[in-house]
Amino acid sequence: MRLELRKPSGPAEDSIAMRVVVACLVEIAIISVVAQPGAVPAPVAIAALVLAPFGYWISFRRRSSSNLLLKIALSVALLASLGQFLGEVRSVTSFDQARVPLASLFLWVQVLHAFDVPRRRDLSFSVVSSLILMAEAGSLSLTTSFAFFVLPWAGLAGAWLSLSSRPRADQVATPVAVRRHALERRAPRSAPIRSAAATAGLALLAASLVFLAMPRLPGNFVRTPPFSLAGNASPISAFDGGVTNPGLPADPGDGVIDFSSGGYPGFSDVVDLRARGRLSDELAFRVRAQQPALWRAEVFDRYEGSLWTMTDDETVTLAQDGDGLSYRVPGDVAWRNDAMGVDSSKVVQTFYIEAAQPNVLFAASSAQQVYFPSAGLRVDAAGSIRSPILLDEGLVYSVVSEVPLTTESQLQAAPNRVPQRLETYLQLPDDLPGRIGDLAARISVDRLTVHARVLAMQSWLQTNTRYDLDVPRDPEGVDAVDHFLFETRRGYCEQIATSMAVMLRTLGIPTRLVTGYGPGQRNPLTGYFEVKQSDAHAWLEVFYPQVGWVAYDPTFGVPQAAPSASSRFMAGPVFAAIGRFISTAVPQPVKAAAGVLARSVVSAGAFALRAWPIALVALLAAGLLALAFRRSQRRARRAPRTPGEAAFLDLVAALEPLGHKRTVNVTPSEFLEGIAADRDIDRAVLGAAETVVRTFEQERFAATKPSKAEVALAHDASVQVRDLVGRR
Amino acid sequence: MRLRKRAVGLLMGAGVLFFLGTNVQAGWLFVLAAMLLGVVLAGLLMPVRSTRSVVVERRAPADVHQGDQALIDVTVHGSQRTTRRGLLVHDRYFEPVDLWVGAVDPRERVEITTIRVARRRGSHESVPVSVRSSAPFGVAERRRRVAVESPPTLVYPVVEQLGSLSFVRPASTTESALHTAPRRGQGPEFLGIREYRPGDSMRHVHWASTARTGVVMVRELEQEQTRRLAIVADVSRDAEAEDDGLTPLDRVCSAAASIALAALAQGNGACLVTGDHHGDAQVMAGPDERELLQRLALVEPTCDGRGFPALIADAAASLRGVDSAVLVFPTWHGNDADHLVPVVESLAGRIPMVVAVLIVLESGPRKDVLAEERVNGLEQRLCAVGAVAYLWRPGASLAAALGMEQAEQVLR
Repeated sequence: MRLELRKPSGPAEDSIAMRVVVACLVEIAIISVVAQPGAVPAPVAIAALVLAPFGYWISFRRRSSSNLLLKIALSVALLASLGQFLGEVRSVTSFDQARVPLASLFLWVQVLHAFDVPRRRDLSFSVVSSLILMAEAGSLSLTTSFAFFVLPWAGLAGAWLSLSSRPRADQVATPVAVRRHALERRAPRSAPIRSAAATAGLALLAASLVFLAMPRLPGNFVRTPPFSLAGNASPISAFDGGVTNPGLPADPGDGVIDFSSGGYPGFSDVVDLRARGRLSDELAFRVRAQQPALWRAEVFDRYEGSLWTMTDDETVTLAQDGDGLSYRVPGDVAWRNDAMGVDSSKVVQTFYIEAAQPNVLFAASSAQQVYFPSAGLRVDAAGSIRSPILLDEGLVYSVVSEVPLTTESQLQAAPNRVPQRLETYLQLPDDLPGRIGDLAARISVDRLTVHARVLAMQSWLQTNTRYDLDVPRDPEGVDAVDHFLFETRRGYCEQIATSMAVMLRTLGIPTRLVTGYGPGQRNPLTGYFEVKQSDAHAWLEVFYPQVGWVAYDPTFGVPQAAPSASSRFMAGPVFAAIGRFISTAVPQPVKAAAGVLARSVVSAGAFALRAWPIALVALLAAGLLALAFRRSQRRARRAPRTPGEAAFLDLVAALEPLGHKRTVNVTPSEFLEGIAADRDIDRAVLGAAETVVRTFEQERFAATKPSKAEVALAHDASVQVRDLVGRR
Repeated sequence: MRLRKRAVGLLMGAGVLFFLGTNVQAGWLFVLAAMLLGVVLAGLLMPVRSTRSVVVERRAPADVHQGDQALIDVTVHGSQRTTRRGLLVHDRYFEPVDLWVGAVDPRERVEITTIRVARRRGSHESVPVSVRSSAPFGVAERRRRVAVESPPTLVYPVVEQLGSLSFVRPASTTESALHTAPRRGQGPEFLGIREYRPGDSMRHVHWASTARTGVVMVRELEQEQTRRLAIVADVSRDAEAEDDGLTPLDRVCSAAASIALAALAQGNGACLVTGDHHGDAQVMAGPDERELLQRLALVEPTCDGRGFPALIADAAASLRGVDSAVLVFPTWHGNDADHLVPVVESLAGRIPMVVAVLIVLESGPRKDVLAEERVNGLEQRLCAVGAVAYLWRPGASLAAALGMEQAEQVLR
């Protein structure tokens, strides 16, 4: 019995350009995966990088062979890599951990496949594989620098699409000869470059528009989100559930701990409203989540004039969930923080810590389940989760939260009666100045529902106070809210949020202060929310009977509980990012000038709207003028339409230096007569000119058109005239 | 505009990436998905531009023999300002071919020369070409019909060099054979009408003209001098091409042309007799080589329904003075011995030599073709009534069928 391989269905691909492009595509895809930290082991990465191009070279050399032995060897190697994958994947404990052996398997498949790609179809498989690798690398990439891989990959992919869209040699007739000749001497050499640039530009524009229009839907719940520890954990000694913030400066002695560039005083056992300072714009962490949220850390319920503290600082240890991977927040804690009687959605968030943070876990709204690389997590009564280790750079954890989807009608319908158990949240200092309550009463006069009062309060604060990080520290002994509302009306988010919380409490509405981080800026390319140290923030939560705690941010506004339809698209973040970039790149005078210009345009637009008939007439007139100008430009630029006309125009151009300038009212024959009348003209020039003119006239006016040979003769004659005139 | 498989692949890939991106909230997956969709969008728009204002010209030989290879030039002009990319020209002239033009820069002409086989006999009028482009990404293909103006090509039947025909008597001189201008005489061919002159036979009075003009008019007849050979061809019907690419009618025309040209080369005159759409005999007297080939190139099935035997009977009167009559006919069922032998016998009584060239068709399952044994029977019966019969079987050369090769071997 003789073993024979079945013949391939198509001929071998001989295009070296196509093979080089595919090899580069695969190489870039491999590098992009390798560049992601921890994606693949280094030996695998190096082997893949070296072997893949070698494989493509071997494949090209042996593209017409049956390669029976090679195929057998590749099959064995593939089975070996599959065996290795199965061996490694057996020991992983989460889907996230399976990524490393999976990436290795992908790489090996890619590399082995590179050794046997004889046909165009096989090369297509390689390109698809490279796309899969790029997708894997993209899903692992945390930063915008992945663009350095995407852009060249996209360019090469475009080149591959272009090359492979050409028919194979066996699909078209084999020509005996292919001749290319320009109809004119001045064939624009830049035309192919312009064409390629236009193609790339159009594809980029189309991709950009699609990207902007692509909705970001919540997606399905990911059951095993990633979590991992980077390097050595920094355990907290004698951890009892308290908050440790290594970024805070030491107490200077007056009992007030100010801000440091990387330490927010709100992440501690107390929020001191006298603290001052600025946080840096350094990246604190990245969050992968379906929607933006205020990343909640701690909750304070007791206001003491210039401090917020916690009434109940008892914590309980979180028990491990049944899956052995996560920790579930106890039901009573969740219940106390969860919305009641309203719908909610599960939001999965994964936090990638970029700068050292306190041992408080940030999470959206009410955390339900935590995936964390260390045991011993504790939670307080308000749902603030503390870890026995510091959140160092590189640590990854995930949280599944319940985010209430409260509606306007539910809030409006909430009754005013406060449950007995919530009286803690109505606490006020005994010496609270009465004018605060008076102000609150004035602001909320005629507002009958809790919701109306809360909105009135928030609106008043947003209108009458200013966010200012340069305000001096409050004088000793004053109430922080009183000083803010009646003296400065400028302050930090802590003062603004506290003022709203206290004023609402004077009206009998339960409130509490929350510290954490703002949503940050969503990177339109990576999809991550990038949260800076300076995004550390304080806001308040208001309790609505039969609804639950609802967050309000009188400083900057509140992100909607249920994201609006427009927030599902990337257009907003992209334009915002462009705006931020322009804002940082453009000097202030230019920005000011642009502002003046923009205001002028707006006022002109407003005027045009008022006087729309005049604007309409002006618009029409401008359109007609533009049309006429374009037509005249086209006419002026119009290229010769026929070879005879081209030869004649060449002749006219060649004789211009000799003083024989043709105007539009001179016929070709009259032009020729003018040349003939010139005694200085060379007879050879005259003869050639006559040939050109007669051919042009015959082509334009005669019933019998000149033959191709005659036209070619005229063209040669015009060239001869140019040469003869040039010699003179 | 036609979407290609690639577009479906890209759309599916974008969908998968979007699905994955949505579930893991990875922004780069959305970027990749957007790129794939962007390529689809751009790939849908750009081919429209690529095929716009493309001009195609074609240059082909004026005449060629069936089955011969011909050089065909196709010239493509682009636009004045932008490069036309990925052009593929589908041309059905002579035979369908796809010509890869690629990119055509502004004010550039691309001339592609291909060899094509003239498979169909007759006049090949210019046909429009289909200009296609799926550039730059091969996502969708735009097709546009472009009219091409070019003079027609006449494809003559296949002509075999037969040398000296055994059944044709050589002419006395070449000069006399080449003289094909008609002369008045007593031949069978009608030359014109003139007034009666004393001495004219009353049999030549043309009564219709006499009645119309009131003057006695007589028919003037051509003098038969050089015509020695008459070829009567059965062009009544045709069928699909056989393995050699020739239809039965092509083979009839090929045999008629080859024999006629061989006769002319021998210094003999030849006339061609075919039927028209009514089944009446059409006699082409004294044609030169080109006229004969043009006539046979344009022969189409008459579908007259009367059949070849009736044509022979009709033409018998016209063949007076002919030395040899060559009957060229396919072995259709209507040309069986019962119908054909009586008329051939009658013809053999009038003409010194009657030759029958039987174009043997592959019978197979077809019922309208004589089976092998009936063909042999026909041959025998034709020989029995005084005709010389040759069988030209499929795949064989005509020269071999006419025994010319054997004759040449004998001469050697």
